[in-house]
Amino acid sequence: MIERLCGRVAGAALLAVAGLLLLDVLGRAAGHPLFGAQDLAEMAMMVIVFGAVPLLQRPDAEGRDAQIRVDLLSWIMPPALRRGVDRLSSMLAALIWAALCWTLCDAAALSSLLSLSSNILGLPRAGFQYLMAGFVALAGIGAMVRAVSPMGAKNG
Amino acid sequence: MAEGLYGGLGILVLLGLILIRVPVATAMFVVGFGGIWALSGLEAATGLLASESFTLATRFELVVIPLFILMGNLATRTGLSAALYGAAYVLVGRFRGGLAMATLLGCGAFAALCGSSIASALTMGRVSLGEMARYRYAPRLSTATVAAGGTLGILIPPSTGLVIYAILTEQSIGRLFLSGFVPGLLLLGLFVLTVAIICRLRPDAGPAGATVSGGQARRALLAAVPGVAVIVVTIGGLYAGVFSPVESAAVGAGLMTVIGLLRREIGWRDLWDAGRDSALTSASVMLILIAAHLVNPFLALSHIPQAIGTGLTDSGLPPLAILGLIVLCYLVLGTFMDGFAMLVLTLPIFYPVVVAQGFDPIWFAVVVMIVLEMGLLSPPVGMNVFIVHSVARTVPQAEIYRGVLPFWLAMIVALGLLVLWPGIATGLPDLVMGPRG
Repeated sequence: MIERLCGRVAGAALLAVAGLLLLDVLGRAAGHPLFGAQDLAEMAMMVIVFGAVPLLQRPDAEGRDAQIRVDLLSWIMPPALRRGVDRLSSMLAALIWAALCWTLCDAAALSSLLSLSSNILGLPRAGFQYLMAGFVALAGIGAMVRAVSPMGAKNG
Repeated sequence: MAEGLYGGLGILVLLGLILIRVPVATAMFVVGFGGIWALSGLEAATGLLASESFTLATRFELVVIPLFILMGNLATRTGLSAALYGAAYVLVGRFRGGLAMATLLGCGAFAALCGSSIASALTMGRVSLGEMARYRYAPRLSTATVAAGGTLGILIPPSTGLVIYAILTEQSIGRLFLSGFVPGLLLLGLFVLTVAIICRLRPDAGPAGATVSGGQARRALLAAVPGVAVIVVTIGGLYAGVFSPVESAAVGAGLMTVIGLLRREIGWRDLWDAGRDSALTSASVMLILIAAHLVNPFLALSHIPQAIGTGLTDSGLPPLAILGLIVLCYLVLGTFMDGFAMLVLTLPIFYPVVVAQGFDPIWFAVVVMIVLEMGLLSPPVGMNVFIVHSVARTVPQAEIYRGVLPFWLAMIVALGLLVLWPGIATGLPDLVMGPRG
């Protein structure tokens, strides 16, 4: 449910960026470009990428997720080994997302301390780093659940 | 010495994880992070993980990737791909092999709306395979045509592959897009010639289609006008310097949305779904790109790229032989690796070698894209063949692979022509943007 919502948020951010930049181009042609369009697009890009990550890892009804994999040896891998690899993949992903979430929170605290902000609109950098940490935390929790739950073995 | 050992071990672990089906991005994150931790400490690894992830995820130039993916997604949903195919059929359908040629022309036009080879093959496969079956085309020819035509997506701009190359090698995206245009048309021409030769040798493989009346032709050509208009505005605007690549992608996606909504070919629900699906595809690509920015510093710390570069340079081989070795390496890797993953993993190693040998980086980008295209058609993991097979389930994969062989040879010819005349790739960017400094 939360993963699907994250996917929708990422999709909405992408549509918003397309509209924003289109308006900027049209506005520029009319002599009034949108102030700060680049800043907004940059921050929305983070939402597009990391907002979609929790859904990206979520397996569909057939147990396949949307991540890029190499299936060369899957046909000779016994089902038990495949399940083991899927658990391993989820565990590794959970560890990576945990490390990223932790370091992003650290970086956000530092950005807040130094009052770092975007170039044009002055958007506070820390807020977006915390938001990204939130998406990453959700992805990490999802991966951990799939690594340890009995159903997770089927999915990965 | 220890660095080299860590580097070699890291590459082995990476390949091992990828081969046992761990997601490519996860494998790269683990090896890149673990490698930097081993060589420079945990603080360096965590620092780089956070900074590279946030910096790349908020890099303005990279907004072009989701926007062009969205544009291709919308082009499929609005039915513009079918309209482009219909128009191409009017032009060449009445000739022997004409439906296959129309498919290739449709693929070429669709490639200008969509930066992905796989999306091109899937979309044009759905549009054209049924039609070719109706005219009793040999399944080997029809499926191979779609698989080969789809590969044009990665070469004809906009191309996701060229954007990734630009980011990894710090080249201009606009210049790279320009460089892919003429080679893309050349390859399209060679593919059409290949179909003509096949149908000349085996006339039953591709019978001529029915002649269309003047009214039908007019309607088909008119239906393709919006698609052609989007191509002209976005790619033309980019080449004319009116838009930046990011703006061109936004304009293309915006136009596609307006056309789809006005013609009632898509509704708000489709738009919403297209946004979500495009974000998902973009995330899968971007994660690999971010992970590559961890693997690359690890490889640099291990001095492996330098060692390979020095080894190749000191081997006494002439530059063309070194280039041939690199191309051969890509061809071998392309038989089992995803093209995109291969690009991000190999460029940090091969790019410095190629530049040191005096080759033009822009020209090399086109060579790499063509070799990646060949990988998309090569067994055992020819992604485009898999995609076409998913649309034409009754045609065995082995049959498609056999059919693809003549197109594969056409790509070799294209590579040969590029080596003989590098200006095929560098001429247009130099003409439009001026020679590189």
